[in-house]
Amino acid sequence: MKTIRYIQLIFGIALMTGWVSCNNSNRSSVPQGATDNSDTLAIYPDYCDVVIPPNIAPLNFQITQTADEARVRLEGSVGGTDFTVKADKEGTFVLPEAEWRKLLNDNKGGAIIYTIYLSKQGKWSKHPQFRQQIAVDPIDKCLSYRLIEPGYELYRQLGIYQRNLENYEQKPIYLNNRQYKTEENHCINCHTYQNYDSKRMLFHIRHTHGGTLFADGGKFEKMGLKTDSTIGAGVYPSWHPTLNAIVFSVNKTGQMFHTDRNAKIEVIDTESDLIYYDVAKHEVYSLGQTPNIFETFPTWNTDGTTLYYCAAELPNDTAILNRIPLNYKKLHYNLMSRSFDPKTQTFGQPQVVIDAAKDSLSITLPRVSPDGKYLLFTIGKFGQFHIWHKESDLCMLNLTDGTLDPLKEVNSDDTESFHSWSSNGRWITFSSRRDDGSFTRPYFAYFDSKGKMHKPFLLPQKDPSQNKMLTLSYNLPTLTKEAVPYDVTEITKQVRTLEAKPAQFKGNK
Amino acid sequence: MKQTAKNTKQVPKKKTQTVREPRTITPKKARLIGWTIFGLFSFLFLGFYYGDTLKLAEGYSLFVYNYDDLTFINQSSWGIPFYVGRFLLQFYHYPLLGAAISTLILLCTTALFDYGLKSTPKIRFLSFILPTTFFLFLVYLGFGMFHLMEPSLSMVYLAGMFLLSAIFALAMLIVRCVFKSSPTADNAQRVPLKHYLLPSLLWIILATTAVVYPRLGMNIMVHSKMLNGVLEEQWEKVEKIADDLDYHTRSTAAYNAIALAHRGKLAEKLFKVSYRYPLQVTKTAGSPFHETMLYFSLCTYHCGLTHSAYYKAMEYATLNGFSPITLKLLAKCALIQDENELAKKYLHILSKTTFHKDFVRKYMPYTESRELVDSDPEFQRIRDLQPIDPLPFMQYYRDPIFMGYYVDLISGRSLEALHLSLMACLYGKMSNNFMERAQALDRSSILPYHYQEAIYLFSVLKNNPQYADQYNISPQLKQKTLAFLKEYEPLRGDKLKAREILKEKYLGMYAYYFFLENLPEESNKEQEFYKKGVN
Repeated sequence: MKTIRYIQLIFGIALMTGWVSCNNSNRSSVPQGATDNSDTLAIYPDYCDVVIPPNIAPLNFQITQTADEARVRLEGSVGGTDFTVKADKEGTFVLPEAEWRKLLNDNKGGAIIYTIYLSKQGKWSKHPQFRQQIAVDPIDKCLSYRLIEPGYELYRQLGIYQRNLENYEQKPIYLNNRQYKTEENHCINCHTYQNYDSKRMLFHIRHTHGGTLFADGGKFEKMGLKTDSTIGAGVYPSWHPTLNAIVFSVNKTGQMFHTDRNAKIEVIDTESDLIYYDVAKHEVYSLGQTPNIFETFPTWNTDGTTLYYCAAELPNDTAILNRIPLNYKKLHYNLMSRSFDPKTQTFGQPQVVIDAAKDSLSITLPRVSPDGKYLLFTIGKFGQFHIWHKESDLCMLNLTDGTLDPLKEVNSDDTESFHSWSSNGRWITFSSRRDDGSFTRPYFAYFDSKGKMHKPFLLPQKDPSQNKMLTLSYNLPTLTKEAVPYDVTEITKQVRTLEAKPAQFKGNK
Repeated sequence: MKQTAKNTKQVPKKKTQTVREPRTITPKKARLIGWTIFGLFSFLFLGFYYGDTLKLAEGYSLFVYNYDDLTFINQSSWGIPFYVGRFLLQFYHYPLLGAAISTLILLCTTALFDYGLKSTPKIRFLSFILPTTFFLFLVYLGFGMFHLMEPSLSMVYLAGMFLLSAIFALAMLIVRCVFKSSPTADNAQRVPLKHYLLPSLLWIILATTAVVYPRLGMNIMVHSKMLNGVLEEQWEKVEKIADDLDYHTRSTAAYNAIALAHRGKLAEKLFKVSYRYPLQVTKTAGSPFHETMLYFSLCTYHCGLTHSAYYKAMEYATLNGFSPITLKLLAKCALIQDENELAKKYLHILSKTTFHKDFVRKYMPYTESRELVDSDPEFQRIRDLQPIDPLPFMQYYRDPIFMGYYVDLISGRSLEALHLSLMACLYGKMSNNFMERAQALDRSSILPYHYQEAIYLFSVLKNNPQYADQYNISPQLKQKTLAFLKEYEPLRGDKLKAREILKEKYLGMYAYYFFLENLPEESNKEQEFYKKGVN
């Protein structure tokens, strides 16, 4: 018996040693005798001089320069324990989560200072430091998005996922069929929540199992929002912040494929309107049917008293309206608004907030900050599907004084498009094609209390090269306070078994 | 006499004494011979017979060591088997290497089954038969297996069978240990050869089926050979295969046209082959083989329409997952279109594969140097074919765009663009478009064969002899065209009969093609079964 116990003990110690050594395999120490080198090292992703939330997962990164060995030392500007990490063969620094968390906590409002050391032919060099400012304001814990190839018309494997931003955990909210089956294939899109609360959510299913799935506190229903009196099913939604009601755009959308090398796809609406949907009563109301005015991208302000949306107008001439693809560059969307009385659920008249058409520009995707003071939108030269327009940028309207901020700190030479706020209004996330011009990635930027936006940073991954290997785009990155509480198997069951109930058209509002 | 009779009586007795003992063999030797034949068959079958197909399957199946990076398969319930299958399939980048590894696995599988069946000599022959089902599975998948949603299915089967044999052998070992029973077979004891007759026959039948059956259906093996030729830019080889073909499918015709275009022989040879495409859709693993998806992107690329090629390759990748072949095409298109960061991404993924690093080594420097892109002969040719002032959208052209664009082409950067346009017009039987473009040809020179034919044919059909008189057209060719028209006229109402009578004499002439081949009413339009939408 004694011998067995000894064996167990030795085995246990060996296991523990192995576990500890595995976990500490990349810990290291500051190299001695390193000489100063003034060459600033490029890192991927570019996490230099960004502002980060105090609850973000470690920002692992790679150096692009080759070296025999590389180490990085992280220290806090306020204090706390510093630590040094060794890069792997690929030049990747995987930062230890526990130390990272402690460093962030100890330095809220301060900064992390990074010093990189490279060894070449046995000689260490110390390179210029860079910093990351740690904001006091946390970011919402969860980011949900759809992953899809930046394809043209076809789809195959689609999924809506949620990522815990405090670590690297990604879970599916819903996955369509993984294996190709004609009778099972379906597209999913436009996941939306009410007021950053993931308990109330919806997304659309197109083709097989078609309809809009609503989840509310564990209850599910699938609705068919197309009625005889509207031009189609609901498309881009905005859930009222307090009422159980949603404004959708209804769009007749097509796409054209460019032959010019500077653009790939043009998504064009040939008709679009807005509808108001009462979720509890299953009732649809039209907010006006205007064949030559294309209303789209509705969004509520914070207290639900104003509906913002975008609208483009063409001359009411059938010769033009029947040939919209030829006139696609003439479609300029203005930022519009309509007042709303939540008690009577009635809308005021449309008002132009920004006349973008006047300057031959086009505004899409308006989103009001949670404090109600700012409105973030995407601006391009024409059209409404700016993810395919390289020149499209984010822009901010100060709703208090009407000034516009072109957000130079945030924008890049490539596409910036869909965006959303965090519930505390201090962070935004947005989709950008700045990495390679094609595969959309979510970026985050800090919006400080003085109304200044800061340099954005890419969604951190455990292995930063995942961004280079992933051949899917992140669609509609949306922040929520908590994770979607429904299990993927439950949602799958509901999507595949529920029949879409038809909504009732009740007239105009 | 008695003596003689006695003697004669003794003869049969003597005969019975000389009846030979049945030929025998030791089980060990029999196995050795069996394994050698089996191994040889496997190597030849996989390396040569299915080599092109398996090489293509490898090209359409991305394998990198990090499982998390294989997003197309890692969320499937079959993710791990597919990963293993793709690992094995990658060696078919060099078909003989792949065949050698697969053969080794098959022999190990045979040995393991053999070990498991040791104690039951009567069914021990199954150790050969079970691995042979691998070849039948390949036959079931067909030569179009590279176009399956998962091109590595064959290797999944191979790995699965190996695993099964290992579990079986281990289970039998445990059983023998527990019951302390030892195998009854004695390797030294000789067994009559006839004991192996039935299993050998059975094996021969299965192996012959595997070899012969695929040849009974449509010969997609040729498709694989030609597609490999196109991908490796072996234009002469592609042209030669096409010349030897009895009939063409849309894809083999397309690969032939690409090869002829590269060799400057389009106007000499395009209509030498028959364009009566088979009506039935080829099946692979029981599903239709939609070959057009494969050649669209290649045709558009080689016609200089990089935007369209990128689009088609991306659609293919969306449906079937990214693969080395699509990644290479996407990278080339991105480089030509000055999308260097995008090209880097595709090259980065390829750099993680085992066997496609050469491509990365060649093209990665291009992402940093415009000069390298501009001086590359392949890219130069593509750029010379690129549209000068295209219509804004692909949809404005006739489909497929590599035809539609060229029949509408009114200005180009190179003489090759003009030839492609002329030939597209001829293929599309668009006489007016052809005649307009033919004005640009050098009338004093001797024109290529098909141009002469078409010019003369159109001038006859349009009752416009002056048109043909502007060109230098051979009198024999004129006579032959007139002879065809004379013989065709009474058969005009019955195309089938006309073909039957005229094919042997006139196949290869443009006039024959114009009236009797590639007819719209006989076209086999592939079912548009993929749901399309706005992403």
